[in-house]
Amino acid sequence: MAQLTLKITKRDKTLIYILCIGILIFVFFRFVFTPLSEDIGNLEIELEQAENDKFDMQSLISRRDALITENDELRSYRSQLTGGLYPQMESYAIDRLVTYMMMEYGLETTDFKLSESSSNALLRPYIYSSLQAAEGENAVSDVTTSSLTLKVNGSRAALAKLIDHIVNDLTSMRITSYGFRDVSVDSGYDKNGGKLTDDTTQLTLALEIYMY
Amino acid sequence: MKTKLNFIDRYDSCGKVSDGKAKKYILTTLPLAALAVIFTVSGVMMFRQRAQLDSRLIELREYIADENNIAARDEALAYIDENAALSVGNASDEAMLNAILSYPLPSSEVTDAIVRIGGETSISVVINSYFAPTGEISFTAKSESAEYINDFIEKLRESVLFAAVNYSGYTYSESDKNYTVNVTCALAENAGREN
Repeated sequence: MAQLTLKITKRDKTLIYILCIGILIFVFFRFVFTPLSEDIGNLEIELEQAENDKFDMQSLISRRDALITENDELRSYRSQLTGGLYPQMESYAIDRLVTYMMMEYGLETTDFKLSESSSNALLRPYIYSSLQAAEGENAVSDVTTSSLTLKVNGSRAALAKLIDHIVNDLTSMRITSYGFRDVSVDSGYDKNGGKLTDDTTQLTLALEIYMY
Repeated sequence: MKTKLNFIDRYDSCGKVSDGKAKKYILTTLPLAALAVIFTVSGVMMFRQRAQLDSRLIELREYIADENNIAARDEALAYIDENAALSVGNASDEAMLNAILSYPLPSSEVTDAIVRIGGETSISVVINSYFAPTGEISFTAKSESAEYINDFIEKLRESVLFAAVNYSGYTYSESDKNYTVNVTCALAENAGREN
């Protein structure tokens, strides 16, 4: 019976030895180095993301006090800006506001027409103003406004005082037009039943009321 | 010749190592030992690095997940949104107020000034109307002399109250023996704001 024999030369031994070392290196890289390396790479990505998140969070937290201060300033400025403006009003509130104002000046309101109640409109600056000259068509602002027209009877002096009050004291109310007309109003009957009339002045006043 | 499958040269039977065998032994063992050292050191370093990264990541995640930090961040974000809205609102209100304030004030300061200029030139003035979009204030002036009317118009044109002065001639009325002129003046931007 033939005996199986293997003849290994010194060169074979060296090659096998080198092969074994190669296998060891491969096994190390495949099962230790590469997984660890991937783990570390993934962790570094996650870490970078987490550091960015922390940085963003810290930035926001550190800005909080400044934001609160800015908020106070903006609110204060807003109060300053809107201090002279009316809050949003319903028609009846506008009616009451204007009618009481006329009564304060001893004027009689004969017509009151509220054309728009709290609608958004565009307000252009005055055509001869420096703002219009500087900004042209861009100087248009959105406003919340109510437009109303009324006819008021009274003396010229009282009507002039009313106009002065609106023009000088009320930022949120702007006269868009006015016109004077002399009229006769019924003031009763004489002994014979004839109508009595008084001559007076009628002011037709168009107003815009601005609200915030 | 038969050879046993032994990759490393063997010790001799007496347990002594000959010089040649010792050299062979060292040559065989040294690379393996070096590899073992390299593998161990690099493995340990990598494990250690991973552990450090893990630890740092946990620390960061704890900071990010902290309820107080989340509340502070959310508050800051809410302020950012609110401040942006307030800024927009303020800019809009500012523009609106600037537009409102760009209009002249058709108060008695202006109308009295017109009447005063009329008085200086022997002219009686009656204010009729005002129209804000064009800034035009209209009035009727009456005079016994046409010459006075020209002086009056000239003085109106010289006044800083007006950006433009327009009139379309005059008419003479036999009934009251007066010249009548209808004048329309566009108010200057600062009319009524001098004081």
